[in-house]
Parts: sequence; structure tokens; C-alpha cells
Amino acid sequence: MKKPFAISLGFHAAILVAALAVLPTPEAFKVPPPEAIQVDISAMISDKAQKTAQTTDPTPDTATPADKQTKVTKDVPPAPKVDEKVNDAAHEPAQPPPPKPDTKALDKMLADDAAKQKELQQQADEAAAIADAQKQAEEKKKAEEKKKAEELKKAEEKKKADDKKKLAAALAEAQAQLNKIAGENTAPAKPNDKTGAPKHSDKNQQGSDSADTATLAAALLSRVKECFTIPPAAREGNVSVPIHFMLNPDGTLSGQPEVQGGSEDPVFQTTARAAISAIAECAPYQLPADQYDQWKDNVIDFNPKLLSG
Amino acid sequence: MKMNRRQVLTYATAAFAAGWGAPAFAVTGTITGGKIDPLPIAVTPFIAAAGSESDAATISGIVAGDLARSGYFKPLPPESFIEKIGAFDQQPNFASWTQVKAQAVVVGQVSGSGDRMTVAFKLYDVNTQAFLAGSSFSAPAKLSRRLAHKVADMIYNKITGFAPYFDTRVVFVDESGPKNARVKKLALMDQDGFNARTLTNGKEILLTPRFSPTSQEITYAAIGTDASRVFIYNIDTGQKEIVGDFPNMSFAPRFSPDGQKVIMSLESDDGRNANIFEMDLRSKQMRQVTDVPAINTAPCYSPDGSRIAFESDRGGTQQIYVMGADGSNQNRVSFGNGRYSTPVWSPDGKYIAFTRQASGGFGIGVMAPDGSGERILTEGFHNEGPTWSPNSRVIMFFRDTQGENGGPQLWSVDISGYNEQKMPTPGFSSDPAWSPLLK
Repeated sequence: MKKPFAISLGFHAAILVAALAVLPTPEAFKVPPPEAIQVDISAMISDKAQKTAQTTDPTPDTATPADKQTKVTKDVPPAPKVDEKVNDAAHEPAQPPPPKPDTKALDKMLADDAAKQKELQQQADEAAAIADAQKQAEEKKKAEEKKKAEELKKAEEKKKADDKKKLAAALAEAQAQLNKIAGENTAPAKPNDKTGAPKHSDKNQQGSDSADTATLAAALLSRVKECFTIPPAAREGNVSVPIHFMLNPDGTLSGQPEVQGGSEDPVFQTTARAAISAIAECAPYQLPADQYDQWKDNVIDFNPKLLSG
Repeated sequence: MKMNRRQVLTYATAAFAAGWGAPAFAVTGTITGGKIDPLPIAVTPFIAAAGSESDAATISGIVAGDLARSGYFKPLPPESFIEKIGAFDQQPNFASWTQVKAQAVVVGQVSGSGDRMTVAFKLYDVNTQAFLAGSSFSAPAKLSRRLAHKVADMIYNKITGFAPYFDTRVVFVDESGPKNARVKKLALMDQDGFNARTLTNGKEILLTPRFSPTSQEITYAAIGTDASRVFIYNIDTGQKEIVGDFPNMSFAPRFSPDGQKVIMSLESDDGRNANIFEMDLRSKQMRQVTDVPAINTAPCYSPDGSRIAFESDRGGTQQIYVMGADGSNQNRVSFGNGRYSTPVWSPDGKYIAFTRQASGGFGIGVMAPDGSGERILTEGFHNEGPTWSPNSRVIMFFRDTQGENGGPQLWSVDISGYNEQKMPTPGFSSDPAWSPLLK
């Protein structure tokens, strides 16, 4: 802690000296009648916290980022309640570092998911039945007179369109609910996976956890997106800012998120600031603790495209 | 062995690298969307040194006002603040600012000695508790509003990523008297409408004032008893001079980007045509740029000085053309419905703003310099005379209203077409021209 203090002290001293040197210069403020007077920037204000804002150094093994870590995690709304609950609820032997999530809650969410999936399936079945009926109607129609056929066709088209709309709306709603669940509670949105144990029907998948990882990633991304305010200058330009951040088992931030790469471009800079702010704002993240290794170390590329957003 | 944090991190990194190998990150993904709401910001009441109490309140109000008017910020009401910042060096209690839903906090201080005032500020990000920007400005006390604009400019730049524009001024034509006998005076105000004052006495009819890139001079046309002349007026000294003494009407003057030349339009001897000429202000040499039997007027340089946009009725109706600075390659670029006039190149060179007259109304729009991507920002009975903020984000124009008591007023609009704002000028006003950023 001595070093930053010394740096800060040095900064303040430098500012004082600079102020002494700059302030007394009188002719910068000549005042001709209706003021074309120059405003004098007498000193740039520094702050030891400024270092916190500069996250260009990607190496994690320096003293300052470590300081930042404690600082950030300290004031972030803590989530110890989750831990307590978990320990009460989970009957399994406590797994060392990552606390288990509230399995009851998880189960409930999973059950909800399953119910929703069922609902979805029902809706899909209904749609299929409707489609069948339409087919039959079509066949019937063929046999009928031409005049009548035309009328029927029209009616049928309308019905088809309506049904399609209904189905699409139902699907969208179900999807939105799934997303919401994924975003808010970050339960793995896998209705069949009731036990929580990885059960991969798709054997072609490479990593055994890739499906879970994809779900987790979607959950994490949708959560961060909720907190991300796209800086005005990034709404038109095409800027891409990858941010690396690590999470603690309780979902709090571990250390300060860091920009990968860097650029002096003001749009890049301001997007990086907004992105880091969003990641901090959304913490703590409620993700399944038993899959901690799948979300502890993350990179999100902030690439705002307003039209596709 | 007890490891310090650095060691732990190093070991962790090494273990991480060894264990996982190439695909280092668990979650990788892209976020393409997000919120576009104005950023909630807490501009805390600036701390006053002894004797500066009323100034301090004014300054923080101006800062919040600038930010709000830009459309990109939502300054939170000070009465909602939980924490009272008592000292400039006091680190904000970020939890309390999270509670009032502020995303950024501004802390400021106003001090003065004699007739000088110093304003200092710090900007923090609430979520990361990071110090984002800070500075201190000082100037004669009567320029206190400019000090506040400087503070707002730095905050705006840091958060939006756009270049600043609050510390700027606007010249315009102040109009008074009855509709059929308006007195028109050259006037000047701050970008937010404050400090408005007239510069001329109203004996001549003033048209199209334009700022010099050096910001201390204005060029305008004035209709006298027998002719229309182009003048240069120095804001600082109040002196004006005629740009050349031409036998025929001269109008629509505008400075070149280097401030060394004035490009304008001169009527032909028979009064039926007009062509574009340029005068070198030092050598007083005239150069004819167009030579087409039509009304060619309203010339405006591209910011790099290589091209000139202008309006011409050579094709039958008023349209916008672009040509090389030497008059070569004169090509029409406006092809939408209606008549196009008053082309103004944006300071960043990306757009040409224009007035479009179509279906009985006048609208203000922007297009790319090749005419593509046309977008109408505002439309109505009468909107005219666009001028750009120096950061190319905001367009000011005037809007006239019908009826005996109607008259022109200044408005601004974001180039997205959102955030229309009426300028609080005292009377009727038209023909605004935005200054460059003040130094």
C-alpha cells in the first residue's frame, strides 16, 4: 500500500507545483470587450482511484489489480445468503470451494422449465393437429366446385396465417420465459436434465459440458446485457471491446474486469468504460455453483450494433 | 509458507495455463445490444469556498442543464440524494449512489479570489467506483457560465465518446417589430441560450451570419438601400468591414475552413443569374468558381477544403450540387422529392445538412456528401437554415410559425432526429450559426 500512496503523493505534489507555475500567468486572460477569454486549464485533477479506471494492463500478477479486487468485491452487494441457504438445502457433503446452489430452487426452476416445455410441446401438437386438419380440408376442397374452392382457399389462408401467428406468439412467449429464467436465475435451461447431472443425448458434442456451457454463457450474457448502456458514440460505429473478468464462487467479481487489447479511440474507450461498469453493476451473478469452473473466467466481446440489438 | 496476493495470482495463472491450455476462458460470447436510455447521473451540489455559495449552486445547475439538454443524460434530482458531499476530496459513498440509481457521480468545488473563479470537478463511475475524469478551470468570474460548460463538456466527452460542444456560442438574427417591418439585428448567445445580446443596431437588414473557424469573426450579408453587401464583423472589437466592393448584389457568404477566404454568391449584371466567387481576405483577389447561367448560391466548403456544396436551379428546380474546390465536377447530389437548399457540410465531413421544401412544408435533413442516406430530422410549416454543433452531433435551425403573431424561433435537434429543443431566446430569431468550440 505504500507504493500507491507514494505515487498519489507525488501526483498531488506535481499538481501543486504545476498550479504554482501556471496560475499566475496573467496574459492568458486579457479581457477585450465582449469576452473571447480563454479558460485556463490550471490543473488536471488526479486521483489515486484513477488507476482503477485504467485497466489496460492485462497481466493479473501485479499488486495494483489485487488492490482493485478487494475494492470492487468489497462494496458490491454481497450474496452470502446464497451460501447459507445452499449449505442448509444441500444434503450432499459440502464440496470444498464452490458452494452449492439452492437445489430446491433449481429443481423448481427445472420443473418450471419442464412444464413450460410441455406447454410448448402441447402448443406444437395443437399446431400440428391444425395443420393436419388444414391438409384434410385441402383435400376435401379439391373435390368441391371451383367457385367454392376459391372462397375456401381464402378462408383457409387467413386461418393458416392466424394459426401461424398464434403459434409464433406462443413460441416467443415460451422462449422469452425461458430466457428470463436463464437470465435471472441462470438455471441451466435444460428441461430433461432434472437431476442436474450432465446427461448428454447428443454424442457428437465435443466437450461433455459444451451444452451446459452454452446455456451458462447465454445466461451470463443476457444478464450483463441488461446492465449495459450502449454509449452514444458506439451506437453508430462498429466497435468491438473484449472484456475479461473473473468471478468468485459466490458470483461476485474477482478483481477488476479488464479490457483485452486496447485503443486510444474514444469510442473504444467509452465502450470499455460502459462495459466494465455493466459487468460490475450486474454482479453478483447467480450461476450454478457446481459448474463454477464453467463460469469463473470469462470474456465478453461488447460489440454494440443498435439495429440488431 | 504464506503467499502474498501476487504470488497467489502468479501461481493461479500458471496452474490455469497448464491445466486448461489453449481455450482459456469458460464463457466467451458477444453482446450486441443493450440499453440506450439517458444515463442517470448525480451532479452533486458543488462545494463552495467562502463567498462563492451562490455561484456554486449556479455552476452545478448549469452542468446538469447542459448534460440534460444533450439528451444522453438524466441528471437526478438533488433532493433524492442520500449522501451529502461535504469536501471535494471526499470519496463518494458509492453504495448510497447505487441506491439512488445513479450510474455516475459528479463532485465539484467552486472557489474564487478577487474577480477570478476556479471550478474543479471529479467524475466517478458508481458501479466500478472508478475515477473517470477530473479537472480544474479558472477564468474571470464573469465567465462563470463558461467554466460550467467546460466541466459539462469533459463529462459529456467521457461518457458519450463524442467530442464536446457545450462551451460554444451561436450568432443569429434577432428579429423584432411587426411582421411586415421587422428590425433585424446581429445577435450572439451561449449555446444554451444564455448571455444573449445584440451586436448591431438594426439599421440594415441582416442575412446569413456565419462564424469564422477562428471563432472571433462573423461574416454576413446585409441589404442596404441600394445593394446587398458582405461584411466581416469582429465580435471582440465590434468592428466591421466590407468584403470587397462589388457592383452587384453579393450574398450567402461563408468562410473557408482555414478562415483565410470568404466564398459567396454574386449576382450577374442583368440580375437574372448568380455565380459563386471566392475572395482571398489578404490579397483581396477574387476567383470565380462557377460559371453557369442559373442561380448558384449558398456555397459551403467541405471541412478539408477540397470540395464545395452549393445550391443551383440549373436543372429547373433548386437542388444541391457538389463540386471540387476549383469548380470541377459539378454534380447534383439531391434526388429526393422537392427542392433542396442551404447545404451545410458537417464539421466531421460525414454529412451535408439541408433544407428541403416538399408538399407544402419545409424540413431539415442530412445526407451523405454523395446524396445517399437522406434522412429528414424535422418537418413542418417552415424549418430552415441548419447549422452544425462543432462535434457534428446537433443541428440548430429556425422554425417559423404562421399567423399575424407568428415568427421564427431557434430550435435544435440531435442528428438522430430525437431530442428537439427550443432555444430560450428573448424574441423572434432566425439564421443561427454555431461557433467552433471556444478555447
